[in-house]
Amino acid sequence: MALTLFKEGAKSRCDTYGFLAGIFRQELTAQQIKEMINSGVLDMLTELGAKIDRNFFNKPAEQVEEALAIEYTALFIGPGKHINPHESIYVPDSTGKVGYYWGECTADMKKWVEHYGLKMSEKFESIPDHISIELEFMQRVIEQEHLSWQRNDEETAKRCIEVEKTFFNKHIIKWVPLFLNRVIDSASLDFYRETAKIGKDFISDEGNLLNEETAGVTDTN
Amino acid sequence: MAIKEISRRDIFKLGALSALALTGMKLNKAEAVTLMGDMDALQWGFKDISPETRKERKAVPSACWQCVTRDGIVAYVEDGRLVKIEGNPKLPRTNGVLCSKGQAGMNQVYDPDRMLHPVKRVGSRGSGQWKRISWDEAKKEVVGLMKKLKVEGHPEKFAFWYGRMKDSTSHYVKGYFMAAYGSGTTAGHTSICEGDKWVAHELTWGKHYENWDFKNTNMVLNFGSNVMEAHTNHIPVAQRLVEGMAKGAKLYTFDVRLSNTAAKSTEWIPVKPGTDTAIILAMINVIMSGNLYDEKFIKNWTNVTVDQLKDHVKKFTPEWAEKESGAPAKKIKELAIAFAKAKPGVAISYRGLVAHYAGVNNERALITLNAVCGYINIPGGFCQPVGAKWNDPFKKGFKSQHAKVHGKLKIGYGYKDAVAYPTHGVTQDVLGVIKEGKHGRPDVLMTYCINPPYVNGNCQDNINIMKDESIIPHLIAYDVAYSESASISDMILPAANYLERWDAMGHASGDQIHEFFIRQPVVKPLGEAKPITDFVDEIAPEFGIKLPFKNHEELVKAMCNTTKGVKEAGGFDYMLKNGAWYDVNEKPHYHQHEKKLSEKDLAGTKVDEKSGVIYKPDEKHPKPDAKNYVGQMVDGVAYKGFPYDKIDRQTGKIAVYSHPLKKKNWDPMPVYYPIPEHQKMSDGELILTTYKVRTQTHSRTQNCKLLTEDYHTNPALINPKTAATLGIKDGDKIEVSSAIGKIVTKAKVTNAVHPSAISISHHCGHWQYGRYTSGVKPPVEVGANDNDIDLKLKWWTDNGEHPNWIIPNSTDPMGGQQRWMDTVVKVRKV
Ligand code: SF4
Repeated sequence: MALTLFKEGAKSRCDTYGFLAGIFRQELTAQQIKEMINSGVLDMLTELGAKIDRNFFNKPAEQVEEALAIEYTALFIGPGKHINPHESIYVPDSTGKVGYYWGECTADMKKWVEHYGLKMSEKFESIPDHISIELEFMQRVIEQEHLSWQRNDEETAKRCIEVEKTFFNKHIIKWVPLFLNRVIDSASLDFYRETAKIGKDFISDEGNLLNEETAGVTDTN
Repeated sequence: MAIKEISRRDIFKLGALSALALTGMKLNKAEAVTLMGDMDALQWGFKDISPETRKERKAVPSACWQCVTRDGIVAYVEDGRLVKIEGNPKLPRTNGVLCSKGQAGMNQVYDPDRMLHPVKRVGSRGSGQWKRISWDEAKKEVVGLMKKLKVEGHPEKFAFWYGRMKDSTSHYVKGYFMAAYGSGTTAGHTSICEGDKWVAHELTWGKHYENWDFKNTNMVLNFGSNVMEAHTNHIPVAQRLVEGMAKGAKLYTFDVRLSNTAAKSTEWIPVKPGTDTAIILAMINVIMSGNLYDEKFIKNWTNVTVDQLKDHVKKFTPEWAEKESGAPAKKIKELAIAFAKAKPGVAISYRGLVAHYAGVNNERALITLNAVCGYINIPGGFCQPVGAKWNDPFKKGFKSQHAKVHGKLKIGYGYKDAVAYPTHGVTQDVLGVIKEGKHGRPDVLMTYCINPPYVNGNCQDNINIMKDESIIPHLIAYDVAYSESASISDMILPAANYLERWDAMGHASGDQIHEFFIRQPVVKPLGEAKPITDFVDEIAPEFGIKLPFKNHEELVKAMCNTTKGVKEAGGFDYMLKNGAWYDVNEKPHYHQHEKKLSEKDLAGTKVDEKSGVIYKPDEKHPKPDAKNYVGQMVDGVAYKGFPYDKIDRQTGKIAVYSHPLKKKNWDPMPVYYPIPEHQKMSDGELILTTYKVRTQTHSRTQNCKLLTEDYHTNPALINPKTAATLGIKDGDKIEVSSAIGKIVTKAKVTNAVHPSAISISHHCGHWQYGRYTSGVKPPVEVGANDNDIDLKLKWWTDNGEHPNWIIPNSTDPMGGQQRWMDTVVKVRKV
């Protein structure tokens, strides 16, 4: 039963992590904003319950891009009070120290990325525990799970689920909900606030899926 | 909420939105992490990349040895150093999964306190003064001692006492070398584990050992097995138990203690130590009197009738069992009925049931419970194990080299006439028997992978005897660690670790199929450590023994290249690469006893009229016995039945009625033997029980820093009610004393133990075995060094207490089992 949930949901879960990673990675370009409106992404967001003022998006793309970029900078980059998108700012290290860059969790995150045969893109200069990297890591693993299901390789799919679960519990759950809450509280534009809400619900659902539906799937020991 | 919750149904919508965004908005373009090829770590086994250098590590399939389960492993080597151990996914018995002990195996190799050089003592025994000697000197000395005995015509005065020695290593040392040298004086260690279980098997259904087919079962009745944490086939059975439970099987655990197995059970039913058999017998009674039994199985495959059984068990009522054990009669009845109806179910046991007075009888009752329900050799039941059948092409030809003068001192089987059937030895009494001298005394005693002062009861007594040169003139330890035993020997020879040597191996399969696997060296032995088989190669020519192979590798190679199946798969080369072979098309073996015998099987046989046993008489064995058993007649048909092991049970059926026990004046039927000491306990006295945890074996994993960081101290578990009457609070220092001594430890007040018991695990309190466990640094001469940076990080100073100081060496007179769970103690706050 639980396996079916994973098998059927893998593609959607994979894409959702990818979507959220993309949204929080950097400012959206004017072209991306246009595509978001034209391809129906915005409509679908509204359908899912996001309260987004469409008038805002009816403005010229450059203006929207500018407004969203300002919001992105204010929210995630600073200067001044902002919501830092790195795990080590939120999660204390083994000595209890918290709130600094390149903490223990950052080093651990680097190991996860490299251990699984991934490498940090040279184009993207960030610290490995950036929200978008953690979300993209999940996307990558679930992508492998999805591919395994497609070739009926249940063993590897289960192994992926095991990795997803461990990584999710070790990193994502420790701080992503907290981060998204702060975005929800601080965002002045609908777009980031509503996307963060969707993200928050998704992460909570992921927690349930990975921790409650995996009995007999991954607990082989 | 402004936005409705994303429910699982919405995930597809969200997925569609995301997919659109990823392609339409080209969000993927700014990928932060890119794939370097396949996500390599997601490939299970045989591939691993160094996170630092990105270099692929060398993957070597081999086998674990942290415990006797011997799971298949893949070890990863980076720049010549073993860096990681995983399970071998090509071996179905473990499905590529290891326990924490297996994963910590690297610590065995790089233990900063392991034995690296041969040493000889220069002070008195136990003084801790050693001189480093060369292997040549060591060999000369050992050969000199052994030659002298051989020349004097008493090779049997060379005794070899081993703990873990299995597979082709065992065969190499005992079957080849010792046989050709001429000494049968060996002793094992099984009676301090679960010896009585195997004696019971031999008395009841023949060959010892069983597999619990958990993954196909509906219900498990567990009497004192901590199967989720420790077992002689741990990962295979634990894995399948979890699998069975995930499919809906129910697990009921009767135990003195809330073990992790009890905690994971459908229900834990606490029992007073030593009383489980009352429950088992009462259950048989409920099943028999309720006509819930499998009539056909009892008639065809046991040596008793339904009426006989009914009559025998009627006195064992649930109400009586409740009085004995504390388990509610209602629960006993309810579970007995559910068990008989579960179809299939399996009743299981371990030391909680057998490490007692008359432990053999207890296990026999358990087999009977399975048998009356017909749960023998069926899917989901209690099954005869299936294991590898290796071919050794040299064995037959070597017989000509077996020594002409071959003797044996019976030091391994208990005091004279003290034990009815010590077929698995009486290891705890070896030293006492030597001291007593009635079976003769060896002149040279070599220990291998056994640590008597620590693993037997009555530590002090063991130490006293081992230190006494007038009792044991020459004492040699062949050991990996500077163990308590090695520390009081005359000479220590550094053994290679399990990751540095060879073996052709097999063990009971969890899936009832034949699985073959090998151990191969993952790294070269550290320092001057040497596999015992290499030592044998070097000393054999001194006695004119010509081993038919160059070394252990050659033997393993020949076994791989001549064993059916393995050979066709590619033999030795295949095994080197894959570590394991099994026939993917093999179906699980059940109903083995119902295999019909062919004409060929029956040629030259006779049938014993009384028992229906089919046997092949010869001059030496004219009557049916363990040597000439062929099968069993049932209703005019010749079946394989249940072949004999070491004991002549006089039937090829399940011997619920035991002639051999009757012969030794024990009750021939499974009955209830109350523990004698427990019948005369005074107020305030408690029963001391021991147990194992998931991260340690009994005695030889505590040098592994990863494991000992996790588990290094062992407060005594005591029930709150009991603690209150003794004025003891959680964390108090307490003195626990028995007839032979006392220890001081801490109390852990918890409902996780029965009020009549005090429970202390036996992994802690080493006084040697290296700094991680005892805090004591071995002498530098043996190899101890400070080159492990983690030594500085050892944050714990409490190394726990060893209960064996106060547990006497107390032997079950039926089967020789050490009675770990019977000691009566007094407890007081210090
Ligand atoms: S159960 Fe653990 S210690 Fe035992 S062989 Fe398997 S991995 Fe090794």
